[in-house]
Amino acid sequence: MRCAGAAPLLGSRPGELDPTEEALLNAHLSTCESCRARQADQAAVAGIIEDGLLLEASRRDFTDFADGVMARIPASAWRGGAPVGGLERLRAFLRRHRVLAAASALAPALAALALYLYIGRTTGAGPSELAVEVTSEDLAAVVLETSDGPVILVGEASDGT
Amino acid sequence: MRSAWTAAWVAMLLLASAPARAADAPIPVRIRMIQGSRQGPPGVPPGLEDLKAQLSATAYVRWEQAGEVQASMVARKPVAVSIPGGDVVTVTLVDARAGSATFEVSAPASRTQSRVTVGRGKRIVQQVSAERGGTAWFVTIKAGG
Repeated sequence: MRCAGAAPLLGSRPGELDPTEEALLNAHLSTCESCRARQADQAAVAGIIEDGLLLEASRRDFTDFADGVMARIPASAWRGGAPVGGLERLRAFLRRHRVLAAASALAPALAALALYLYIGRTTGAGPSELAVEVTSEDLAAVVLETSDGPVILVGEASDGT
Repeated sequence: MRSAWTAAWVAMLLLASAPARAADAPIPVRIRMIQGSRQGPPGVPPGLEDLKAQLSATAYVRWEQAGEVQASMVARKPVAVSIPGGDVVTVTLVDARAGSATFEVSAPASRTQSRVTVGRGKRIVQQVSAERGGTAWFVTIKAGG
């Protein structure tokens, strides 16, 4: 392996290289002073960055994090040390929006009224509604439909007698 | 707030029961027994003028009214009417709605049974006896008196 081939592998993390690449890189480093020096530089830079990040993170104090979250929950959502249930919150909402609640209460009634009126209209009187069923044991029945209503006549015997 | 909900539910229950109450409410019904004849001078008496369109559709030319029953009918309660000769015709209000009524007419003399739905203002004219000597008996039914 030459220096140009070893350069991309320098600075790789443990386990990142497959065994063949790792063996070739180690063989090259054992004979190349320049690449060893470059790898040492990269390791030093990585160590400085890691230490810097840890230092920055350690400056933040998370001891009051949980208290801060709890403090942001409004006091009205708590009762007796326990959070208030959804029903209580719904009641509180309805108390604050009385008009909206009344409208929602009347909505089913208005829907039922509309349905009732619709059914009443569709089942209204009309010639198309005329329905006649006639059964006769012996006589032939005839239905005449007129503008004033049906006329049901029974004529000669069904068997012609 | 609670009163608004209560009012809404009461209104819904009333609306839901309205069709049932309408069907059970008594309705005035006028039933007439009339006789039609093929022979004789054509004529419809003044009392049957409202039936002229229906009566003229038949082959009978002379008409006479023999009786009349005005009843306040409720659903499924039959009303029996007698026709001359001893025969009895049973009229039953099957169903009454806002714009229509359904009647069932049973005529044992002609062994005929019918179920007819008519709209408001319409009449049923039904032959309830077999023709004898050129005459036959009919009943007419009108909901609303």
